[in-house]
Amino acid sequence: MKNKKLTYLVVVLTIGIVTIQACKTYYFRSNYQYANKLLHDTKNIAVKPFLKAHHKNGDVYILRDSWQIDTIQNVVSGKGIRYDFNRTWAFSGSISIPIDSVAIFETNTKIIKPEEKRIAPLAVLAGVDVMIGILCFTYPKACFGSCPTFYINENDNFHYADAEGFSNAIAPSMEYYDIDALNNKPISDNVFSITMKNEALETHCINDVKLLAYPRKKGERVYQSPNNDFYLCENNYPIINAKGEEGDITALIQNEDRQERCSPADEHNLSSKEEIYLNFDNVKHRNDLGLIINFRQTLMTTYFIYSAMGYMGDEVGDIFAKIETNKEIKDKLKNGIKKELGNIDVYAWNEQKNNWELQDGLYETGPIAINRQILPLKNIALGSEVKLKLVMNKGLWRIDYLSLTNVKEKVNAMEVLPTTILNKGKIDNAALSSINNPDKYLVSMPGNKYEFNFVLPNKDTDYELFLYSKGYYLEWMREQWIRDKDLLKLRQMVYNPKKYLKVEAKEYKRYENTMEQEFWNSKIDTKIFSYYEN
Amino acid sequence: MKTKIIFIGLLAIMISSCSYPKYLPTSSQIDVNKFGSYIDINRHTGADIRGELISIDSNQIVVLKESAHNCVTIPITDVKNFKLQYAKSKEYAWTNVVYTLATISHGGFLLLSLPVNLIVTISVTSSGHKAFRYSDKNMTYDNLKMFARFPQGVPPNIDLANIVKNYKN
Repeated sequence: MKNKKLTYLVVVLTIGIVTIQACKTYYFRSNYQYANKLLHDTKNIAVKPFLKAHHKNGDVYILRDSWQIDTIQNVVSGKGIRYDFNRTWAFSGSISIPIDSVAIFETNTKIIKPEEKRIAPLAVLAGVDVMIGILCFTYPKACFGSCPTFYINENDNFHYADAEGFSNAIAPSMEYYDIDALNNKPISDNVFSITMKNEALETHCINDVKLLAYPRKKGERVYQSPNNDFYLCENNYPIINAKGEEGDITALIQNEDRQERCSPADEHNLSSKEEIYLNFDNVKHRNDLGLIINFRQTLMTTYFIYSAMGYMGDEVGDIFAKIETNKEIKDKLKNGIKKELGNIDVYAWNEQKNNWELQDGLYETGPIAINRQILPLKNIALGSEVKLKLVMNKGLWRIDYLSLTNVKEKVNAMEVLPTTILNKGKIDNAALSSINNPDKYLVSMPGNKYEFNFVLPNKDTDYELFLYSKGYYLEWMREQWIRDKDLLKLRQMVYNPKKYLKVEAKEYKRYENTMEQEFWNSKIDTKIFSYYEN
Repeated sequence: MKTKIIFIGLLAIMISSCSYPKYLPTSSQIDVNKFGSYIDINRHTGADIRGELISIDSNQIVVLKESAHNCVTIPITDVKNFKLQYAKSKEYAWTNVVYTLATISHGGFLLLSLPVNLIVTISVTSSGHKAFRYSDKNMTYDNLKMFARFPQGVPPNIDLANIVKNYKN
């Protein structure tokens, strides 16, 4: 909604500017055949206009603003210049012209600041351009990067993206598949559509998009685990009490309301960890519990990706070529910082052993779409109360919702391939062919959007849907990043991430509070921008 | 296609903006200009006539052609429409390039700021180009006289053949 408002504001401002400086017709010239009329019209003017006297023989006299009309002598006199009929200079100096030799007198009112209405909008525009320039200069790493975003409702605001695909695949060799829960409402028809957008300065190469579906009955949900297993679940146990370092955070994570809990990064070490304590009560069937967690990342990892590209500077092409051909570098780049930042680790309190037992961890890159996953719990002690602890990197995670559920069974979701793909409302068979052929890629450029249509197996069945997307994307190098070239820092980031995260903490904190807004503001609106010519 | 249209438009504006004769005064020197305004007459028959407006009466318009050194007389009935330029346009075509280039520093915002900059600067350029202009839509033939070299009509003692250009186009 905010983005629509911004676009609307810009359009209105643009129209306003264009309208303000639109053409104006000036009427400044007057002709007089009679001197009396001229005298009458100019007598109250503080500064007289220059006077042109068109002589009957074709000459013209141009008199300065000190001219006078002598009605007794019947002459016009003053200082000026005379030109002949070919407008060749004939005389300069004091001139006295018999009125009856003049065919027409001409006066011209000065046009006051005729360029004002053009200069003003240019000045405003220059001011805005400079401001945006400074903004991007100051916060170059706060530009929107997204990988493909998916929307069940095409018109949804990007804050409500339902999925984002393969966020870590920033090079061809880093391609992987990604599965995101769509958290869809009950489906009453067997036709389902989802729109894929490219809202960043990136080239998206999409190898595959399909749905994974599993039928669900009333009261049932299907959740995906970090290992991409699917669990049919029932019952829901809301959180009773949650505490973070800042105090009670129950209200923030009790409901799926996009009111997220996140903490600021540690100013001395970006890999500092924090703990959140969770209490659940009235929990039944403790042997098959699973923790439902809705989460996404902050912009911290986006910052690292953009910083890495900045450090590469004008060698970005060479370095990416090395990444493509050297597995060691690729693995270091992929896992170095990620390992340091770590998962959201879930611990359960073991009453008998009187300690916290690690259950498992969750990790999903991407600051846009909220991930909805389940972590099956094991060895939960008897009693109706369940105590859990999350250990995670400070300033990296946003948690929207936490609850417990009972796992009925592990299930296999069925694959549903797209039947049609629409590009700008028209069926795009080439795109469909690319998606359905494992050897081909659908290339999506900034501003592109594709609508994928699916037909689900049964019309009267409700399904839990997951989006499977596979591919990679190429981040466009931004001019303002090049000046950040620092290969030593890149090396530190890749080979000594622990130290890098300490050294970089101060710099990151500079951005942390403001980059959020800049990030969202800098996304590409697919409605007003299309990379492809059309 | 859109991009092509935009750049062709830009190019057209930049090229056409240079097409007015040098003898026209600036807007601040209109009152001391000794020549007639520049007129572009689109005729029902024959090619367009462009040049300095020498005189006009109820039957005909006399123009000192820019492409030659002689005056031509055009019957009013042959005039389809006309455009009259009475002062030099201020040149804003440079803003299209400079402002567009300025958006390169805008990162992702460029995708919004670039079209806005193009719209505004093209509009300003176009507006500047048309700033000191009349046409048959807002100027009667009677008022058009005021912008002729001889608003009173060509004096009887002057032979049209003797009227020559002493300026460069």
